[in-house]
Amino acid sequence: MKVLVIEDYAPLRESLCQGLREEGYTVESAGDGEDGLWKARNTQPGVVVLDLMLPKVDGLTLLKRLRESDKQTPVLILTARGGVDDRVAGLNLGADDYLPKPFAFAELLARVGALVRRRYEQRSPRIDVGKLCIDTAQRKVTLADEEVHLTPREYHLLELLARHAGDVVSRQDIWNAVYEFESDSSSNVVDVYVSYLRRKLDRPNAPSMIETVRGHGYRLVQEPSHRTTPC
Amino acid sequence: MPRAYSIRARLLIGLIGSLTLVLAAGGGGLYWLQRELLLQDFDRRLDRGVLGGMRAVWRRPPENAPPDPTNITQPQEAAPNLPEPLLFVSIWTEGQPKPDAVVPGDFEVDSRFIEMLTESQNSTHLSVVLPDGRDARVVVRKLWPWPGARGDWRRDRNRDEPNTTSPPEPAQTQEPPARPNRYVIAGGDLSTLNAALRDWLLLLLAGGAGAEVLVVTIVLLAVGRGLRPLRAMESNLAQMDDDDLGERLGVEQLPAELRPFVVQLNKLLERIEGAFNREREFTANAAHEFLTPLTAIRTQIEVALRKERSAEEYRATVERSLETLMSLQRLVSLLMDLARLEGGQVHARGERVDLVGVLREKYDHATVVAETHGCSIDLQLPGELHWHTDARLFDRIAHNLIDNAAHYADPGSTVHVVLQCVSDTVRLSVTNLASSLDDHDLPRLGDRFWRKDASRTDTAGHCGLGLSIVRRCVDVLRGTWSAQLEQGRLTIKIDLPQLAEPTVPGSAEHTP
Repeated sequence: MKVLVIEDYAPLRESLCQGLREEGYTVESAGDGEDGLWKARNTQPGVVVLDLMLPKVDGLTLLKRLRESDKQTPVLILTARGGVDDRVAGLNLGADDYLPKPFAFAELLARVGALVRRRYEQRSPRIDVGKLCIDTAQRKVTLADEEVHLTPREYHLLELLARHAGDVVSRQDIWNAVYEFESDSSSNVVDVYVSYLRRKLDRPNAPSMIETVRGHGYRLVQEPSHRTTPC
Repeated sequence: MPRAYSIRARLLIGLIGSLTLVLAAGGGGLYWLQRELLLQDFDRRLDRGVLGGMRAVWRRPPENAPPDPTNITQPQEAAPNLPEPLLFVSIWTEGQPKPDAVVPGDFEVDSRFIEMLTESQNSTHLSVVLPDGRDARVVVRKLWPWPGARGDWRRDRNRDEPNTTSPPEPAQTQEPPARPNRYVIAGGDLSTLNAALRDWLLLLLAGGAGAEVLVVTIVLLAVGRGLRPLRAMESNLAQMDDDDLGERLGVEQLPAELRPFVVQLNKLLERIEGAFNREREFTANAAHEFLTPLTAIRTQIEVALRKERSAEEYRATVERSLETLMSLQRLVSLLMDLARLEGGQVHARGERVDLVGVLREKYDHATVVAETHGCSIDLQLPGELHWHTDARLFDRIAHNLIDNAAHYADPGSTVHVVLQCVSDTVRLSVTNLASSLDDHDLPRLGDRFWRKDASRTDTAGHCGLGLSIVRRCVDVLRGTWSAQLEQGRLTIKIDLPQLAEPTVPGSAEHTP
């Protein structure tokens, strides 16, 4: 899951990015409102963490402009302005949550996680797809009650597929969700990580849980079909 | 201290009081007029009655003889009918203690009538209280002409007709001796007139009370209606609170007397709103300035503690936190300086300062800042200029102004620093190209934490307090500050007078 952090104070921005990355999130960051708005529109973040006092374009204006085109992406506002008026103004403009500074990093993580769940209309932090179970709070994956150890990137890829279980997720969407904008990875990396996941999830000589839909992308299924050919 | 009555009370007291006075005066006037009219009528009737009453005391003259008023006798009738409104008629000889004749005979006369004789002229009307307690109107009239006196018709007739019955005797040619005057005093009973006046007074009082009730009602309604705009204004003012100072009182519907007052009140509200907004902004900015580095430190530490790390990683985290902490400390220090300057705890000490030397030193420092922003600094200084001022405060002013200009000047532009003497002050002008500023920003320059850009977290140490400190330093040095914006070029001019003596003798208070 990709999180976009828009914060102009570099020490805070860097710490947030580091913390979120270490929790397995893919992180984009921006130091001003103009850059932040561009990345919010073009890198398809799962959640935007937005500071209000920003150079070039302030946070509320950014939110207003973002909501003109994008009504889905959850936005968590961070600000030292914790007054009722400021909170109401932010929420009225389309923010999904509000976290006054200073905050505990654990609380920020919990709120980001809650926003992700809300986005996918998932009330419980658990996603079940057949025998596969993903605990998004613990970031733990079990398959038939056996824990599967995944790298953060593998985990995010699986979580994305599980959230859209039964539907096709395009390579581009996977790319946008899992990889950072600045990264120089090629689109081939998506296929590589899918193959890593298949190795960890699929049983030998059994059909894969991750189906390849040629020309479109991948699909996570509950009951693997014998017709699908692993890639 | 005199009690302040409400406008309503003043208006009510003034209007009701004055209208009551007018009513009372009108009623009194009407009463007086009626009394005068009734008395005049009474007096006329009295005068007419006197002639009739006189008949009762006159002896009837012979046939064809002219009436002789001297021929007086007691009336033949015991109680002759006196014409209305006569109560009595009496004839008095001046100087006599008793009347010559009184009708009716049992009418009691006393010495007051004699006093009337002496006080009266030929004829007069007086109101008296009779010995029996009744109110009476008395007419005193001199009987004229008197036989033998000047103007006596008989004497005049004898003079005009010398050849009548007997020739005039030589003694008769002489003037007869002067004789005392005689008066008729007649009185009428005023009880009927008094009763009529009492009825008139009651009528006036009843009418006056009715009019007073009407006046009070009308005044109450009029005052209530007149004060309605004030009550509406009070209600509007009561609805305002400090959360919504943007509201203004309507002026169009107000009466002309209130309009200037409300216009001034609205202007005051505008100023208060501006001050409130600045304070709110200051609080929000201060909160942001403190809370953002604090949040950064907390996040750095919390993130570091979320998993086991190498010693190098922990060291890097601690170093980052320390750096953030240092910027927070700088901010606290600046705010403390500003608080001391604003609180009047910093006093200027006059001393001989080499202004040119100070500016050259600042130039060296600011050149580094300017170069990092792609700017240059042009210094225009006199060869030498020593000035009596506070060295540390001037140092602070010069540092902040030049550093600020070098930091915020448009890339590629030149910052001009000019020092010159203008009459009895020294002027430091710093000009830089600041194309992002507009005229609305000029009054905000020097506001605490104000920066053109909403971004608050400048790690280079510019948090929007530099010009605030400059302004306060200039105030302490009794100088003046002005800012001008022409074609995108911002010029800040500081004029400083010479400080001859320390403003507070013996105060060695440290400047920031």
